[in-house]
Amino acid sequence: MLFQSSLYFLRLAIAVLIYWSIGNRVRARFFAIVVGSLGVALYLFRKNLQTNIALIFCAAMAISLLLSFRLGLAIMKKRRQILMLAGLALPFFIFLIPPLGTSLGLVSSPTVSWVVPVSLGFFALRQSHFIFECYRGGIKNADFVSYVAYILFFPSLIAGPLERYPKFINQVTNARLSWDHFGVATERLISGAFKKFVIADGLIAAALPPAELSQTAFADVSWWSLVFACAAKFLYVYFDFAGYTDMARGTARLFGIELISNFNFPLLRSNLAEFWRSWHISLSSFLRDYVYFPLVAKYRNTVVPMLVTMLASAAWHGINPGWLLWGAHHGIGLVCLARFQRYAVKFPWLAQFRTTNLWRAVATLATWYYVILGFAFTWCVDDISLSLKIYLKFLTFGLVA
Amino acid sequence: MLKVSFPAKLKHSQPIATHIEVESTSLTWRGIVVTAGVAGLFCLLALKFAAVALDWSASQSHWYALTDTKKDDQAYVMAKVLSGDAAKADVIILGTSAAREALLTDIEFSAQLKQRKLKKYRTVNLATSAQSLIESLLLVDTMQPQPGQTFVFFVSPTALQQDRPFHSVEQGGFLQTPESLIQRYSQHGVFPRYWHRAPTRLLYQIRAARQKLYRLLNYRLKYWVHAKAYGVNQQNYAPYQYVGGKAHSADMRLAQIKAFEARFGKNTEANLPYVQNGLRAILEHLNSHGCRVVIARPPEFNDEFRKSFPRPNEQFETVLRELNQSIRFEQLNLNETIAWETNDFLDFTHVTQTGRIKWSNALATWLKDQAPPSKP
Repeated sequence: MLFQSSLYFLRLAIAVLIYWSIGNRVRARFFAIVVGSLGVALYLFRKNLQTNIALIFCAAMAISLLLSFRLGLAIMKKRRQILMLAGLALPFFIFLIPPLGTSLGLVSSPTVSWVVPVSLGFFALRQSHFIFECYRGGIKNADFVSYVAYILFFPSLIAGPLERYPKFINQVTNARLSWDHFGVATERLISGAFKKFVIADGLIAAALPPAELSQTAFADVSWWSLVFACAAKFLYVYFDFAGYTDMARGTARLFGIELISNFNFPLLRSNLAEFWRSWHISLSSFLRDYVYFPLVAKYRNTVVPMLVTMLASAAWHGINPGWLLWGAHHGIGLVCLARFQRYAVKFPWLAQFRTTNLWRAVATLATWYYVILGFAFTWCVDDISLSLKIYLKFLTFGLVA
Repeated sequence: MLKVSFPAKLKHSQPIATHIEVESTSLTWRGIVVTAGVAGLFCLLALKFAAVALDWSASQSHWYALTDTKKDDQAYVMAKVLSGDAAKADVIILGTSAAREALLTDIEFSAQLKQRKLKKYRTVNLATSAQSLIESLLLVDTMQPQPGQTFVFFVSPTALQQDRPFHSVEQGGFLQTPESLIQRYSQHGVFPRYWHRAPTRLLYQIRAARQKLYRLLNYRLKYWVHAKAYGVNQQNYAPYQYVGGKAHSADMRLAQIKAFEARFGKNTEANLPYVQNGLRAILEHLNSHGCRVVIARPPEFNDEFRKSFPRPNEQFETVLRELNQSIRFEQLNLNETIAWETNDFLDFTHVTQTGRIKWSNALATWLKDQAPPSKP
């Protein structure tokens, strides 16, 4: 990971010094962010990719940025749906580069570090957000330098959080040097490093299944082992990602920019809807605003939009049977919860009982169980039968194996 | 006292944290009990971890559980030293990965010796990857050599080309601080002057502790969880890094020669005094304990190394000649007794399985010839 390198901190210190020495010249600030972020992006590509494919990626990203910006400006003037759809699809073409590069013989191996696809995913989503907001009227004007600064802003380049364009521009424009920034940033960097390196990598990683355990062998472990593995994975993902986000937010705060928080105590939530409102908030609110709400407006019900939104979330994690089943699991869970909540209000005693601590405790445990159960699909993502076998075994307390 | 209220309907933009408010800061019994309970739990965990960590140096089995597959030979050999295995052995092998790869495992080699009627002869191999002389000194200094022990020290001119001979000890690779070396050998010129500085010594203590913690979490805890939760018992240590390796191609050998050449050119002048002083310190230490020392040449095909690098070879021979004038030690070159073939080697000094068998046979034969009459 980028944040663990000591050289990163040295370069960061220099970048912060330059950034604040610019003073209140806003355009120069954006320019400084672009230069720093380009440096980080080039470093990532050089480290994780072969030179020829790194060059192709850089060219594709430059073209994508130019085109999406021009499209955004065009959409602001003429709100045409076809332009908007083209603009939404455009950034995702970058994902075709690795398979195309391999099939055309440009690269010897399709191996790409996880950092690149994930950062490209966020790169594509930010551009889609820009296009969609231009269409919706949320963005009235934009200039290219600030647009590139927003897309490539290096603390959130690799894995978010997904900030919104107007808020980002507003924050950079109005950032004022204050010691508070450094205090908050240090606190976040330390707490993030603790979550990521001590809790996730140091302690919870030990509980994950060993690499020696094959997928088939994993499907045959006991129910307790399965629950243990899924719980460990859930906690690992949470602490790893929350730690990463804290460090990204801490880094951004050094520049006076307050990025959106990704987690709001998701482990304390007592139902699935609350859980999703507090888990990976930047992405889930993104999906809510750009997938769920438009679908609700179109279909006038919530069942299909919920399922489609969760399937979109699954597709973000990976387009394979395991993740799609995971998305369906959460979509069905949300639909059932919405039905239950509608049903529960008809019975005052039930509504009253739902306010008690006992209910809250049981409901929190049930939410945990349901979320952990979903992780059963993530072990053998390419093998649908194995995924279902693990899921059913988990669900039926090992009775169906 | 904290009061947490949850609104009936929570908007997404309304963070729940805003509903947490502090009513008063007075202590309550409930608060004290909960805080004390959590603190006690943490203290217990810390004590448990500390006890396990302290126990490491006493029990060999705990060390074995910490070693990584293939890589962690440094912790593995230090375990042999601290557990007393090395002190009880008759023959101790020291050297680089060339010596590690050249010999069968301690158990297999002991079986070979038994076949040669050397039933009570025990051999312990303390060779590790790129073992520098300061690392060899750390091992022999820690183990307290016994009178009558034979140390077969495989050392070659490759000691002159090492990029960072002090790196492993400085990083706590053997899970030991070099404190005893600093106290005992500060005047011998076997390590850089910066080792004497207080902050550097503190840093090395921290690094050694960090390495122990790293192993505690990454091997011991992880392997225990894997065994208990998933029924997977992982292999703690594999003695060879080059299992299944095939003989290198001519191109690879050429590339290796070039790499060696570059490193000899860069490092020889800096390493020469350390090699000289380090060898002297080891030999004097072992001689003072009444041990027999044999400086042995590692496996080498057709004198290839000597022919490829005549200058470093000559420098190294000079060092040995000068030392031999004042200190007692023997020299051994088993290569002269082995009919090596190309397939026995992976590169200059690392052997394949066939080479390993040949070399182990030759060493066992030599040990039989050297064994005192009472031992067989």
